[in-house]
Amino acid sequence: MTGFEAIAHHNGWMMAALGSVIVFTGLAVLSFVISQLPKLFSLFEKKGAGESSAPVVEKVKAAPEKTAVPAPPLESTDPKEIAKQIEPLVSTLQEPFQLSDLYRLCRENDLPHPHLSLSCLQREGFLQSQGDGAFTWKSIGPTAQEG
Amino acid sequence: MDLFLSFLNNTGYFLADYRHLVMLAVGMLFIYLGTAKHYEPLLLIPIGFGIIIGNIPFFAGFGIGIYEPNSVLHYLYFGVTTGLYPSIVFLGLGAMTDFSSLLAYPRLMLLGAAAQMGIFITLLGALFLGFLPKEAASIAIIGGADGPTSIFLTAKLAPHLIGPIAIAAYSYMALIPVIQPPIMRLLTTQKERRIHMYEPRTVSRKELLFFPIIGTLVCCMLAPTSIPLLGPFFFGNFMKECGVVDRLAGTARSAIIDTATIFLGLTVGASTQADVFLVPRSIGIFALGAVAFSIATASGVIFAKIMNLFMKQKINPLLGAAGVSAVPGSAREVHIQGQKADPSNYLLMTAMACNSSGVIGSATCAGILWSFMLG
Repeated sequence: MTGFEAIAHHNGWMMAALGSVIVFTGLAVLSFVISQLPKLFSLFEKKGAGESSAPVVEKVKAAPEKTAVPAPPLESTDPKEIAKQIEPLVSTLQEPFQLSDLYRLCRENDLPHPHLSLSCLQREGFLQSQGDGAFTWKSIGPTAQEG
Repeated sequence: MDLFLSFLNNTGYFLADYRHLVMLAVGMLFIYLGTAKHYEPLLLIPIGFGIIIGNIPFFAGFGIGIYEPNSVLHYLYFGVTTGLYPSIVFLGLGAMTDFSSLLAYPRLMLLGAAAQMGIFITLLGALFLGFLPKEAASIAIIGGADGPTSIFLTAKLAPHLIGPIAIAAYSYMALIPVIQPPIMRLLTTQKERRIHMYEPRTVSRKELLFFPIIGTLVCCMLAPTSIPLLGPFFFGNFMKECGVVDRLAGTARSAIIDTATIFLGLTVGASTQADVFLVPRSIGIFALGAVAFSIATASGVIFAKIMNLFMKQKINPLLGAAGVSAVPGSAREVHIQGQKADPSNYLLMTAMACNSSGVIGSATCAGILWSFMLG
């Protein structure tokens, strides 16, 4: 059997139409899911940061004798507050600086959650990538507030 | 003297007829294209040599030929007929593939789906010409431009067509620089070919880590018959991305895939024995394969142009041609065509995203077609 009769007899039209729809749907779903992944991860990270910050505060309060020099109150989730705390450290670095150097300074100065804080500052535009891991600082002036 | 004459009668020189000579010439052409022209040498050289080995005439019954039980080639061919080699190739392919471009441009995944239209249109064409449904499905999958996928599906549905289908699939993959550019130029304007792709966003390690798991769940759940291909593919990719089994990932993308490629190419080549291969039906398969591949390329490009009608950030429609899963040949061709239009246009990484999507798409299509034939 040949021709359109053969296509109809073997259910070819249906197979072609359904097959196309299935593969399109499958890849469209996969495409949608992967496009939402960054949002999903940032949501979890924010939630995780919120949950992990509470016990740290309690720990510091419960054992004040262990912290000879009180840690800067960097528990705020407001990027401008975080930027205010980190700006003095940035001023000790020569621009453009490596993010790893700023991270090390944050740790040396006992700033809590340096990784999350730096990610937040990067996201909010206070830290601006110059490529190759080098960054510059956009100060907390009117320009930062605009951004 | 009798002994000498008897020996002479058993030599390949005496037993050869014109069909053997034709196939030997085809084998040598493959080797020439692979060696001198650098057309997919990793595929064409094992296949070409396999064609030569498989078409040296011999006396049947000595356990020499690939279709004779107990022959060494027959045992090696087991990996083809069971679909073992394609699965292993997919494992290595997964361990090689970097999905960061695809994750950075998720919408390009749709081009990988669009390019699969060649498969379904060719399915209709093969049925129209009188092929049985299982044969038609095996021929249609050539449009995915994925050799291992074509061999896998044909081994499951129409094992008697493995030789012609595999040779057609690999030939068209090798002939990408000849087949695709005219179609790309025909369907795009110079202005469209000059479109630069927008900057990709940064892809986190977590995304790369989660993608193979999500891909497995979405695609294998949708078409469980694609598990033998997509399961190892995503597993290989997870080994690469998780960073704690680098040794395994390294072996998968080197020794394992190389071994499978050697045996796959050699035995597929050897399966093209003149008496099995040189039949009118093979010509139909080759013709339909060319149609499938051309339609796949065209549908990818056309779909990219349709997407541009609805998107603010335009994509270069040449990328649609990389939606077929011929990795990395079609991506390379897209890049070359883009550069010809504008030397500052670098499309390679973006085209690789479409290519990766094409691999997933064609394996999913194979699973879908297999499911249809089970019913």
